[in-house]
Amino acid sequence: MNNFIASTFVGTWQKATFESARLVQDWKTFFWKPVDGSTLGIIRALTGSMLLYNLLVWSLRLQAFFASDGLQPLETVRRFYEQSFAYSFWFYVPDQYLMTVHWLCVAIVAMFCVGWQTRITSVLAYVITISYSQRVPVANFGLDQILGMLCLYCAIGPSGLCFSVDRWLQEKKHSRRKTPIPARSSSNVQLSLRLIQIHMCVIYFWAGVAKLKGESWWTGDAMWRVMANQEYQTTDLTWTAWVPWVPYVAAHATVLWEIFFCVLVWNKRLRPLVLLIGTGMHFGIGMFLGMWTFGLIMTYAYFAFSDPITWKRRLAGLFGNQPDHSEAPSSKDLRSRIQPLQTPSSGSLKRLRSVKPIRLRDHVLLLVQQPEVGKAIRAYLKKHDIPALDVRQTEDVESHLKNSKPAVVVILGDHFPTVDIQSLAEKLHHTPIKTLFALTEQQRTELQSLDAIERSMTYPTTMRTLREELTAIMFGSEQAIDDTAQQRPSDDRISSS
Amino acid sequence: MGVLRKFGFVAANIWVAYHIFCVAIAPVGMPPTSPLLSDVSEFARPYNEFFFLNHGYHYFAPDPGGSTLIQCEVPQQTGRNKRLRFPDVEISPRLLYHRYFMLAENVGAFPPDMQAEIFDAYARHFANKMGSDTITLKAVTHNPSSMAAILQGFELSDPETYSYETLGTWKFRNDGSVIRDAVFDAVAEDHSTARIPFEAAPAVDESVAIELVPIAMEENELVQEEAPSADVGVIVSPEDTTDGRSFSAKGLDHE
Repeated sequence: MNNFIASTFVGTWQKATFESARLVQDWKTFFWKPVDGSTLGIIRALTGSMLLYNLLVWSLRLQAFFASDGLQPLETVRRFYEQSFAYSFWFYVPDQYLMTVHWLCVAIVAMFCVGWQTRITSVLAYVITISYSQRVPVANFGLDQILGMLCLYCAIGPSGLCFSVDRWLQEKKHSRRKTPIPARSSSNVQLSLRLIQIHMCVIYFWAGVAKLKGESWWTGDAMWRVMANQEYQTTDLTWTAWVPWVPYVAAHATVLWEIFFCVLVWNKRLRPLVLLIGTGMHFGIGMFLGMWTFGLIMTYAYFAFSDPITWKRRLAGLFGNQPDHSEAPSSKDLRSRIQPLQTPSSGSLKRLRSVKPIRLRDHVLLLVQQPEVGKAIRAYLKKHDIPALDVRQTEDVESHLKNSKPAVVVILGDHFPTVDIQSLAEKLHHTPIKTLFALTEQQRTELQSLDAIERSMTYPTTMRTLREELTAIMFGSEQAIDDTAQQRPSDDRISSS
Repeated sequence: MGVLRKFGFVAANIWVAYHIFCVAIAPVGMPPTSPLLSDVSEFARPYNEFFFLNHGYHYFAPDPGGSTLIQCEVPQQTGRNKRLRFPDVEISPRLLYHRYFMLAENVGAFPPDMQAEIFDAYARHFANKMGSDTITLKAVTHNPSSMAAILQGFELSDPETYSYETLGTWKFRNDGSVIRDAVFDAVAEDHSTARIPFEAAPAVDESVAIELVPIAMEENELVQEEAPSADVGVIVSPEDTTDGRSFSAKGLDHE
């Protein structure tokens, strides 16, 4: 009995340790895995252009709105923020310097927009955004909130890493000196993109939940009221009174879409549809309610959900350039282009950190008898962009090979008779498929003379070791692990026990 | 160095978690809310205020209602009142239109004493713009017509869809300061109401004809109203112009 309790306790403890270690690893991967800076660069350029436009529009009525005795009296606004932590540099600008300071801000924002001195100008652009907004609180609307949010995240991450003057100057400098061009990927890019994604989920969720408080969103009249609001509308939509199901469907769909955005958008298959609906909704707001600025800024944030590699290829296609192979290899010619690193004798880890993320389309086939182990390995490899399939029986491997061609077949020998492993190894030896055998000490001893097994490792092993082995097989002995910078030897031991 | 780096990484992750908490909790603190949620959101308030993240994101919620506009009226010696209303669809670009729209729409969400001061500012600004020392402000609510009304042939701009509430009448001295007569003082000091009702409004005769003044005009064009130009769309006959009372008060507006 005591032994049972002890073993149960130890088992639970081990499981808890395993799960918590995996949770930490998942958190790290989710927030800190280095990714290409293209999408953040696009977001910076678009947000910067909207902010620039916003400031230029303020130029038309700067005195009226921002002068100390203007439409938003300075003393009144300051008193409003007395008990608050809000701030604005406009509180300290005398009226005679309004225009000077304003045009200085325009110049800084223009620099931010084109990505010049982005590390500094991104922070300044953020301060400028909230300073303008908090100086004229009565004149604020959704545009200011989203501008503030995007500028904050552009300031947190290296938003000048791509599509920027900074990058252009850097490349020019390095090509002149014939030194390697620094990486375009960064873990802080990932952090910024993740925060934008989460923030968008929060915005839509609360926008949807707040609508549930209103009766008109339940009766379906809400969308009609919006459409029939003459102060908002730019196009007459009263024809919908004759087809009332249009505003009704639009009202209900809006609430459902907003509330469930935070769930659906994480599903990669549904994501394009979810974002397409959102884009349609915001373009509708722009077209019919005249709020193009708000509609557009919301869709700019959608770039955070897009795959940077795909976008780079699209942009390259758009401008008639070849994709930048040094940064983002495509799946088709991945193997032919990837060469082993010229690893220096020392500091190899540092060198590895500069290696760009690799996206892999070819899958790995896992032979593993226990479903939960197979599932855990698949999930882990998927996070590292290595698609994997798992099968349970040796026969399944053979039938799978008839229909597809995996990059590597991994055989987890534990729970399989040695004779079956031997038979499978001999069959696979006559195919061009690369194999990796993870064998117990006993199996390795028994099969050590078998020539059919070219690569093997000891099982149980860690996820990381397995991934390193796979990466080495697929890309060469020293070829990169994309996120080495953030990884530590994992405790995620693969074991069937 | 390794320890420092590790400490920095842990600190960064704690910040990430706190940031997400603050962003997610901010809308919860917006009324109506329970004391519990209010207290929880209070924990994030300083952070959200500092980083301009204290938003409710209640777009068109809970119920989309009518629009609020502000109407400014100034009396003319000829007996024709001049009227200006914002937002005005003539304002361009559209973003500027929305700024004026928010001036009318959002002011009700601010504390009453702040509203009073903002209405003072509106009155001063638009009195100057319209070249008068006396101005009456009205809050105009434009309710959207129902589907049934549209089906019966009514229009969105039908007069019955508008309702008016007089906010007050302001009279300014030459230096731009407000002349507070006894009636005004009695009302203005009562900040407990959302708006300042001022029923007397003797300066504006509602029965007389009204001249619309487009807000889209630049301020300096309005100051030069005595010699209006046709291209700005102001139809003001010479006898309708201001009588040159010295409250054009250029010092009030620096544009």
